[in-house]
Amino acid sequence: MLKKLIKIAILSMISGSILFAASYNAQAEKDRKAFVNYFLKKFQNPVKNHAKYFPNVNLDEMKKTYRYPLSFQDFQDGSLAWYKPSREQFKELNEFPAYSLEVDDGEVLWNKPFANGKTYSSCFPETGVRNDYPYFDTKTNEVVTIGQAVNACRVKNGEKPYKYGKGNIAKVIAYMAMKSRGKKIHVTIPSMAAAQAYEHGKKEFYKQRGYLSLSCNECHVVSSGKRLRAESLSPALGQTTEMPVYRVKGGGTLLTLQARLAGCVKGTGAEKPKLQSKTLRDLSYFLTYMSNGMKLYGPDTRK
Amino acid sequence: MKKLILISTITVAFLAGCAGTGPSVNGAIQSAQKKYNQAHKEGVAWQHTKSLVTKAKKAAKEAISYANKAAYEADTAMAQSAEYDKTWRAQVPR
Amino acid sequence: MINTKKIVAVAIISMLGASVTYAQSQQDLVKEGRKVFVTKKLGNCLACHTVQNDPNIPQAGNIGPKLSNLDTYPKDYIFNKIWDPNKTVPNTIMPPQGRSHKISKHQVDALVAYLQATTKAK
Ligand code: HEC
Ligand code: HEC
Repeated sequence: MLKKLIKIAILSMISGSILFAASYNAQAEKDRKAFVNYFLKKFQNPVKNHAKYFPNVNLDEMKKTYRYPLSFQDFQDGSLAWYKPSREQFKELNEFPAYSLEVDDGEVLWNKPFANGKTYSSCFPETGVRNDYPYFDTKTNEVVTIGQAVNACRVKNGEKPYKYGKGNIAKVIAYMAMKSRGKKIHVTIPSMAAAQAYEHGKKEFYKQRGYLSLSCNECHVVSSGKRLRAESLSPALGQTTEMPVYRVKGGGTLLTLQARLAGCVKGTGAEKPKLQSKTLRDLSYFLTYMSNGMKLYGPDTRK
Repeated sequence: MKKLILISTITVAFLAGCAGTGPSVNGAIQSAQKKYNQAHKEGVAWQHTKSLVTKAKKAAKEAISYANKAAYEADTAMAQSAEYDKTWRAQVPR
Repeated sequence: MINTKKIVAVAIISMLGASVTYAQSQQDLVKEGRKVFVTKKLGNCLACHTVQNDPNIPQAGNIGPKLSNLDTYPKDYIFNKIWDPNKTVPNTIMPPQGRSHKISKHQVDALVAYLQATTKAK
């Protein structure tokens, strides 16, 4: 009898934990579906939905310059997805993409042995793993970005870590991204602590900040498909698929996602956060989760 | 002898206290002003001493206005953050 | 008699002069307002707004409404809207640049003058 009872207790504990494990991402899934839906509806027919989503945009201009309807995968192209003039300009630019030199550099770095004779391959199951990042490490209870993984590999092999944001780190990631093209973003929420990191990232995304009191949401959700000065605003959905991003502005720089996020935070009039700070890592965790299932197309060129 | 040690301990403690916070700007200006006044009264003040005191006062005013501005910004940031803590959830698409 | 005439003439001339300088300073204020409106480091209002009768603002955005017919609004309303738009529209995307002390009271006054002068209903 006692044995049976214990058995039942154990069984119910196991099934309970299975149930629980399945629900760590329940809230995130609910958020993600609503998020994706918002963008699909908004860009289904912007001209027809003018009054609802684009009240202040000139209707004639919309008829001439907007590309629609957009499919889920179309959002990988950022502002180029919906704004025809930049789309054409950048399609042309990408016939001889400036980032291809950086990818070549990245390949050389990837294959060049460290002082101990090993290479990056010793740390990653394969080169094309960009779509698994950022991930939540259940041992350290921290979000790990691809940049951190690259640097961890260097340190483990007795090399100095790269400086984050641009330069060699962006080149190595660009090569990994190139090898990950077409793979689907696959961010998981494996624990309670992961769900908390997700919630933190979500709050960072929606909360207004800086002396301009702006949130990511206001520019990249509510105002996506509109223009801030001469900048066409990209939808937040799909934003992380093209990282690292080659920015033509200012002579051309290959930037990591971390650097891009930090730049946008600064743009709100807030203090620029440190790259790889908890704020930026959790933010990238949330943002990337929102695009789960989308195929990667990185690196890519933007204004 | 004991007295001397006591006094020197007090002095050291006092100096250490000052080192922690640095000399106060207002104290330094007041003291400079007093010394200048004495020299002036004696008719021996140097050419630029007075303008140095004036400069110090102006810089102090500027320092206070910077500090006030910084305090205002930090206060406003905290107040806005508390406000947005209550409102951000309403922005999440449902 | 001659004296009074003279005095009247002087008075009229000085009144004219005063109104000329008033018009001048109002014009300067409007000009300054436009500068605040289009300068990135100042108001940067063009990031989101076009202006009804000032179509030559380059690269204006379209997040906010085209500012129109503002001469029909009280000055206070426009001032407060610019100073802290969150007061009337909580969670608005328009930044509270007065409240943040990013622009001064005088600069907001200049913006009000500029907007009322350039958004008259035709
Ligand atoms: C004032 C408006 C504004 C705010 C607020 C803002 N951004 Fe941006 N962001 C831009 C502009 C403009 C660009 C460049 C054009 C584009 O691709 O959208 C950009 C670009 C980006 C990109 C690169 C997109 C690409 O295709 O290369 C990412 C990622 C991004 N923002 C994320 C964020 C995040 C996360 C936040 C919140 C911390 C944020 N942004 C806040 C205006 C903003
Ligand atoms: C980030 C975008 C943005 C910026 C920058 C911005 N605004 Fe606005 N503004 C808006 C939006 C959106 C509205 C619509 C109502 C609201 O949300 O307050 C608005 C409304 C207004 C209105 C009220 C219009 C009416 O008809 O009631 C005025 C006046 C105005 N803005 C002036 C300015 C001035 C002046 C500046 C520069 C100091 C400025 N705005 C900067 C987005 C912006």
